[in-house]
Amino acid sequence: MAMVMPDWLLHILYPITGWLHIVCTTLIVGGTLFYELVVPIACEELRPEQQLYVFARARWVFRWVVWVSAALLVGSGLVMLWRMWPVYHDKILGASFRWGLMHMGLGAMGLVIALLLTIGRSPPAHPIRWMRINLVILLVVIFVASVTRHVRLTLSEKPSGEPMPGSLKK
Amino acid sequence: MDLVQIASRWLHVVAACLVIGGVFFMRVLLPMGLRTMGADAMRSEMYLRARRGFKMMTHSCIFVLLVTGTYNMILAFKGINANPNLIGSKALFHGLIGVHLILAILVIVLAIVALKPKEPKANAKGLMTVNLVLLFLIVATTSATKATRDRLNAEGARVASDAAK
Repeated sequence: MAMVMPDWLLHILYPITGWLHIVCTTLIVGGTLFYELVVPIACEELRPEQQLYVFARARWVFRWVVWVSAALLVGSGLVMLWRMWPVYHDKILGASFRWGLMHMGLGAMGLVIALLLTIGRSPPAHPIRWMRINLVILLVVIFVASVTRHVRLTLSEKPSGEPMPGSLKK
Repeated sequence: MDLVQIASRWLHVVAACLVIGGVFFMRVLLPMGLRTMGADAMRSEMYLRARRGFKMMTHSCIFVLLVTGTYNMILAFKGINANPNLIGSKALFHGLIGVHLILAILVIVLAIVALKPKEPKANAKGLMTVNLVLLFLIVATTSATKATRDRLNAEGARVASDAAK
């Protein structure tokens, strides 16, 4: 991509993909947390059949957020992977690659569960349990992303005085 | 120490997810979900209950964001200033962090003002919309800050590597 796109376009594209990745994460994770924490408080005094109705409506309106966010997360994630490719193949900075790989694997798992929970007219069996499991997975995904960045920054900003090999631009 | 730094960054992102996702849910998704519910009284009662839960969540998140944000900012400045390879201008990085801070303060004030009364005022919807837009702008400044920091590190590494040759 760096070969076919001019530098100025890459400087615009990379922050935008980063922004999209974080915004979509906030919508999926925040929406799921809200669904888990606040919606039950809102309908605790309703009759069971009314509660089911509210949960079904919330699921119906939440699903387009999940679908759009999942698509954008995968797209922006691929652009970011392309950008990080030289860093991940560097002798020293490449130490962060295994964390990046874990982030991608767990993230894909979380997105698949989120999609399966929202596809179809009715949710699968034990939707609340699956939602909680997915929430834990998504929180771990963010944690692993945090570790990946920490490893990369620690290695690239270490005050050893030695020049660090590997850069985004050659 | 490493674990504290990672946990601080993780907590900051999770709290931001809760706030942004929560505002989006309260402003966009919940009204859509409640639209077809029967009685007006029941609908507004449900909205008020959700708002109460959201208020508690938002106040806790503001606290977490302030504490972890301050710590993360100190770490970022230390990291940038301690890097011997870094020769590029840090002005853009510092400027972006400044914009991030100003927007964050504005969002916190707006959130507190919008959620203070027990029942939402007439301008509450407008305030929530403005807050949502500002929150997306904050994420944009974060993304630009990250890209700038990576760029500074990469260019520093390239220049140092050229000098070593």
